[in-house]
Amino acid sequence: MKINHQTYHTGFGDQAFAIECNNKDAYDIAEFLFLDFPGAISATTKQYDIILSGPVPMLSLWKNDSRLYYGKSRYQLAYILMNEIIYHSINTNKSHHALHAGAVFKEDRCIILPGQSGNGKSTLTSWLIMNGFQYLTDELVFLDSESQLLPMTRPISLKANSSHDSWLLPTEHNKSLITSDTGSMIPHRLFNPLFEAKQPKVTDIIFPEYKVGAEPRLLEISPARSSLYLLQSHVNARNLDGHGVSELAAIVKTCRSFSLTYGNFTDLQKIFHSDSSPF
Amino acid sequence: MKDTQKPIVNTTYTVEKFDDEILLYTEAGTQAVYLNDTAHTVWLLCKEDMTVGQMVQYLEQQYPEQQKLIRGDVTGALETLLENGVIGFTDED
Repeated sequence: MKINHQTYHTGFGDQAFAIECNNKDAYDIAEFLFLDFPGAISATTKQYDIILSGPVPMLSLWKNDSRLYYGKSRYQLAYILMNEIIYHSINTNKSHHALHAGAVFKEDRCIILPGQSGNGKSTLTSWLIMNGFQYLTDELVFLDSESQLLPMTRPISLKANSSHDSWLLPTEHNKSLITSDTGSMIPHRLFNPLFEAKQPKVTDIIFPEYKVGAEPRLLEISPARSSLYLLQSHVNARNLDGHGVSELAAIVKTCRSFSLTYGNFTDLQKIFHSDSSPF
Repeated sequence: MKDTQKPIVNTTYTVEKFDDEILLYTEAGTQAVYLNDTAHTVWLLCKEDMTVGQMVQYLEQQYPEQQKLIRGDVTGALETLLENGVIGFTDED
């Protein structure tokens, strides 16, 4: 009997992870999720196992002796594993500001898009990379005191599948996705085939709000207001001196900040392609 | 809100200054409050041991051209500060 175990090593910030995979199919899931993670060197490595077995097959995800998932859904397994990695990357980090935010760049502009789940952050990120911007992340950025970004470059994660009105991707790409009734993970390289890993300095902050029927609007906001909004997406503040507020405010003062309200892609087209657009 | 009431500043808030605005945040990191120019001015006066009436009177003297707006602006700012736990009140009666 030939057993083809492989370990996928990845990491983010100061956390390293080893994912034991019992076959190539399991390894492909890990590679799908973490292909563009920057990696990390750490004294300790957190261990996970992905096991695929049977003709269907059945999938399970383990963390040491705890089973985190058992079932048939690649999407559910991938979703749980990604959230585990995100949690552990943030939880003890004391060196960066961890922000729940998307990020894209174009030429000398690097935009972060802070916000909670459901406010259209991933959809806006997808639209921007289909309209001339390069992908960095749709979920999490680490920011150092010099404004330099460490993006968690993962597959784009949408709470929709190809039957949804907001779907942007041509159907011929569907076989490249991990998808379910509740969401989809899309390899960002389908949008940006010439992807190159970058860690630029942030220049602009856009706080998106998806609101059906609302009047589309891009409004420049003050650094104080921007800092207030940014604190709501600052997920490791408790680990930092003074909750990182002064350092984060200093970064915000070097950026331009905007609030963006939109209800559909036509709105985005009007805002970003108008002559008065700052982008 | 009575003119004789005196605001007491909650000292657990730390200040982050911007040009005309400030951000107040708690040491515990559980809350942040944005103050515009007017609220910033009112918050500074809260630290000067003044009653609400004295604040209104002082600002009316400083900005006579805005006299009609000042009482509303001051009470509005004080209500915002109170709602966010930035100040409390004592009564001078």
